[in-house]
Amino acid sequence: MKKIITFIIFLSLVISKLAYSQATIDFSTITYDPDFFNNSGCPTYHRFGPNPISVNGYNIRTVGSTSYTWNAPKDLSLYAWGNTETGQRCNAIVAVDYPFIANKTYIVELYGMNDHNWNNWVVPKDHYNGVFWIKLDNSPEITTNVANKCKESLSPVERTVGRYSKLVADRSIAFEMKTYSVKFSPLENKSSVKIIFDSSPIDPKVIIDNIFRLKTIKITEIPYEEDGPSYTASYTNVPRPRPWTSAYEIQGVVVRPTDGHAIPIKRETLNISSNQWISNGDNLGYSIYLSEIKSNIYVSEIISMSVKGDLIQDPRGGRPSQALIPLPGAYQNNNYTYQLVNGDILITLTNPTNTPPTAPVDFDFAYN
Amino acid sequence: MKNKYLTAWIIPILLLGASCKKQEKLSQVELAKKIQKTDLVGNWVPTKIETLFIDKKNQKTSRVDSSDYVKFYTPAYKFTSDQVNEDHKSWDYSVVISDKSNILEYLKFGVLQHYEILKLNSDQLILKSINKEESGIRTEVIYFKKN
Repeated sequence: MKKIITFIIFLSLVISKLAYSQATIDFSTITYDPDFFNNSGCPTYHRFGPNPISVNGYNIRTVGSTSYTWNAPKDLSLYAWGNTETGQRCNAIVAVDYPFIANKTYIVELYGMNDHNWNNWVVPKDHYNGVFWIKLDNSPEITTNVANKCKESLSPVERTVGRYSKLVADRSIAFEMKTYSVKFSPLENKSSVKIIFDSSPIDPKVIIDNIFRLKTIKITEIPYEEDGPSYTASYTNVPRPRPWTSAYEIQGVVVRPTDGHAIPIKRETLNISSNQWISNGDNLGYSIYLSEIKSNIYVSEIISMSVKGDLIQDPRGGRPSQALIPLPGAYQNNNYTYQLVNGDILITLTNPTNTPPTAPVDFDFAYN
Repeated sequence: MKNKYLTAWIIPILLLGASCKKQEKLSQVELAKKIQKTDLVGNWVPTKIETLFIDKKNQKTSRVDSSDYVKFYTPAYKFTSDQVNEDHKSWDYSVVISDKSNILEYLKFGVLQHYEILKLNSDQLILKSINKEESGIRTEVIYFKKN
């Protein structure tokens, strides 16, 4: 009986896996063919181009700064450069034809080597990764205004996040194999995914010299999972400027489902010690980001934010508890304010002496 | 009279030609002995690629010769005395002699790159690689000029 149950569980697992489709485009599996690039739109350049070339049964198009060499290790190299010593600025776009069906969820994974235009194996601290904008689209054609789609170029990018546009911004600049993953839950059919490797954000102080040696693109269909309801993202590939500048803000586009579900409210407590506050400069006070205390918290909306004050005795004789002082508000001569910044919370304090609090401060906040 | 002048012009030209040929041979003789890493130092820009492919299925041979746009699919090489820089990345390299040929070898992302040095003089480098593909045998000869 036990064996039969195990077999049934195994069978159902296999069936559930088979029921959902998966596509893998592996650039290392392309076998040499002298005519391979003939129809790419860039035959004399001997490379992928704006016209479709089939890889593992899926049409691939590219525009911009990419290269493919037949000598192993085979991969599709993508270049995202901005403010490098040579002054050039470029990005790369890869489009994959794929039938994304409404009311299903898809995981799109990129696997490859994170590389830099840097000879030593330690990347300088002032050099950063580019970002991936991954978008579902109605057309597999790559829309661009560049004069030559076969040469290194910089195509304009719509820098928004939403149901059909995701951002991957990796802070880790190490030379290593990476898998980047995003999830889409389309409410309408889409026919392609566009992968834009871009030198975002645009900031003259930021040097982006990133090369991504793309090995595989994997698309996996899973049961529908609700997405949203609101979208924000941050350029976490670069250090955050302080105070915040508009160059780092990413616009969110909300596409709400007709039968959206309520999102449960989450609650957290923060303990910030005196030496964790960072000066904003002369007489501008001190501030700290939530992400500098707790990682992996994404905030789309702040429901409440309070600083924990003095202990209050319970009149009914229970245990004393700390008073919650809503922000903006003052506690121990410090004026506290907060703001939501691209999925993160920035808490700022000011006081007449322009010094950080001498003792640890606790904050309580609710969010979703 | 006419013949006299002609002879006077032709002899120096022939001598010059012979001297150039001798110089070319000399560098090739040096190459046949052993290439030193210092001989490779400099920037080498690709000018042409010849690809010969023998299809395993039908033994059909195809030849691709691209002089135009070659730089878009073969990056330039920059050699120092201990590293070769290719596609924005530097690798330690060695020059070894195998079957009387000079072989350039380096590991690129852990994969051995193996090129026979067909020619090296002050302004030209020619590399040849033979690659066994699933679909056949691909022989690539890349011509570089010194920049």
